[in-house]
Amino acid sequence: MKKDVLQRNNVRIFGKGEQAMIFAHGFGCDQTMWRFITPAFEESYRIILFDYVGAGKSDISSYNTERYSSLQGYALDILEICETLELTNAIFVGHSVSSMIGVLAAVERPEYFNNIIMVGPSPCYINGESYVGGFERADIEGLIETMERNYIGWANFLAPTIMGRKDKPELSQELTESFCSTDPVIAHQFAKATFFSDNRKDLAKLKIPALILQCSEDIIAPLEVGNFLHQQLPRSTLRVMKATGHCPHMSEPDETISLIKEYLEC
Amino acid sequence: MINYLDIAPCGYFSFTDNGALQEVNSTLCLLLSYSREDLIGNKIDSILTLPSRIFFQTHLFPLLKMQGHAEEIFITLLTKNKTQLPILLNASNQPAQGNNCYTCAFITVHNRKKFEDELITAKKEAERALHENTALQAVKQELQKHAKELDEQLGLVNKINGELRQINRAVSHELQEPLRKISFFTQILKDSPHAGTDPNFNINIERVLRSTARLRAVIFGLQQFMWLQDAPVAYIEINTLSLLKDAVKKLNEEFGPAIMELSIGELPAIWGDQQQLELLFYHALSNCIKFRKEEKAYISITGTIIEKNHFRMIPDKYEYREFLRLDIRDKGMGFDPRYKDQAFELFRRLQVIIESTGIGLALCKKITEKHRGFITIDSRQHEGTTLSIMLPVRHPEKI
Repeated sequence: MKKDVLQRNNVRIFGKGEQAMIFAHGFGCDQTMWRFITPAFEESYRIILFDYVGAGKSDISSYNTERYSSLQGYALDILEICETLELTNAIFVGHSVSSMIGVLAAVERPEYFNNIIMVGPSPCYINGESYVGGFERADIEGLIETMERNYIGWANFLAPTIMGRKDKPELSQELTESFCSTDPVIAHQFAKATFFSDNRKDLAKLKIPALILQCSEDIIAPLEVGNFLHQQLPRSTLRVMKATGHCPHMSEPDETISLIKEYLEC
Repeated sequence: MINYLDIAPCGYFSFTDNGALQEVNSTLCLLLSYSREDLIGNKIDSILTLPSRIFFQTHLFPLLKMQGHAEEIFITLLTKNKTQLPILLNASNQPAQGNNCYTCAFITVHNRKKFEDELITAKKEAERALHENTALQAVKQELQKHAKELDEQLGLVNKINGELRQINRAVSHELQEPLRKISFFTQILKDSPHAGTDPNFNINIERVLRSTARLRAVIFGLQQFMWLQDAPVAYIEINTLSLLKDAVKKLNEEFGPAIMELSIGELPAIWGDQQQLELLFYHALSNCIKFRKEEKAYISITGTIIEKNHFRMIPDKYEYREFLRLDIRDKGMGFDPRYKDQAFELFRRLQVIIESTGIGLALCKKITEKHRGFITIDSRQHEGTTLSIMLPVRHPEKI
């Protein structure tokens, strides 16, 4: 089991510190997206990187449509990694949807975590009555369509998915070498699980402290959402960043690093 | 050269790390009905449709940042008049213009898009058919395999159940009767005129009486355990808090009104068997009392609704359902957490104290599992124990 989970999720561990810092990538990417951030923490922490099943260099044959139909399945990936590595008091850093996946994991097993750092989080993307999520259902369907079209362009994605990739190892090889490449069916399901999720009711259950890193002008997680989260999360700190867009850890790594350090050191 | 690029039959623009447009050519302005001044310095988001903005943020930007280039990316631009313009885009990082500058060239793909639409529809149809067929075959095979396994398991379970019933009968009658006699005659001995002649006599008699009382408690626990084996779960909607209070009342009658100090959080209603759940709460709390460190047991109970996969035995089956997780924390003696997996075993006593029979937690586990729930325990020696009971919130057949 131990080796299986670490291999399945392509877990990489490095760094000189004792306390674990587990970085979870967002939708559409893999663990390499953290490469501008982790060097700043290597000295003082034990860095844990992984890919969700279906992303990056994870074991695609472990993908299970039922399991990953909900963010709960992705939270299970995290819990199984924590269990395998026997983590306690870990710092969880999640980008985008991984912030909520982290909340689900920490609500179920609070003992694994010390606190959660959320980069561009949103508990619900779709607008509701008296709630601004930023999107309508049609926008998300449009996104899925855009994704599908891009898979046509990337010829290797034409291969039938999930089932029977073992007979063509060279295909998966090619697949894993391109960054942010995911099997289209898996990406499609992840998009649905992400953008149709509503975790607002789970926020009050989070017992551990959280840092919300809110970008300026983030169309995926607008400022209203950051404020809402701050209001609903019992022990949260909200920091509005100068960085714009949805990926401050890539566009403004220095600001991201210094805000995380400030939070951890106080 | 720059003039050629300006009027070239392809759109051209560049943007920085923060998404601000730096340069745009005339072809792009014409296609989008904007003037150059409208666009320079604005965010790239302003010329993308909403879905394309998400795609840009979640895919294209990370791709450029990590790989330095991206080819044949399909996105949709938004013109000033809010019409959509499907394009195919190539983008690359231009170190000459600073590390955080990306140049992009694109062509419009109106006609290709129509062709692709048809292709996608056909591909989806084929995939769906393939998937359904493969899924159906797999389900059929699984079903056959499970039917066979189920049949074997049922046979085994029946046999074990039969044996258990015999043991149960033996426990109830064959042990109960001699025990009753031992107590009876010991009592006679105690009351007899010979009592008191030897100072050790009374002490030994008391020992026999204590041991028989303990044996009776063990037999009673075993009977409850056996009863639970066969008892069906009579589902009704349970007011969790009031049922918990019933259990507390019983414990107060047994151990005294000041035996525990309780703090109870908000507890939602769940579906379950009233009698069994009361027994569960009774034993869970009774454990906190028996293993208390001080005069009083200090207990806190909190309830959280979580979602969990409810399949436990079949691998690769997932369905997430709501569970109420009751965390019952005490500040009692605790035990070495290395032994937490053994805590639920029948007659496994991690702390040997006279009141403990080694049945309480085994009963808790049995009742929880009969309700298709999960139970875990965590403890620190001398600090306290947390018993986490996860029970399904809804009636299993009414979901």
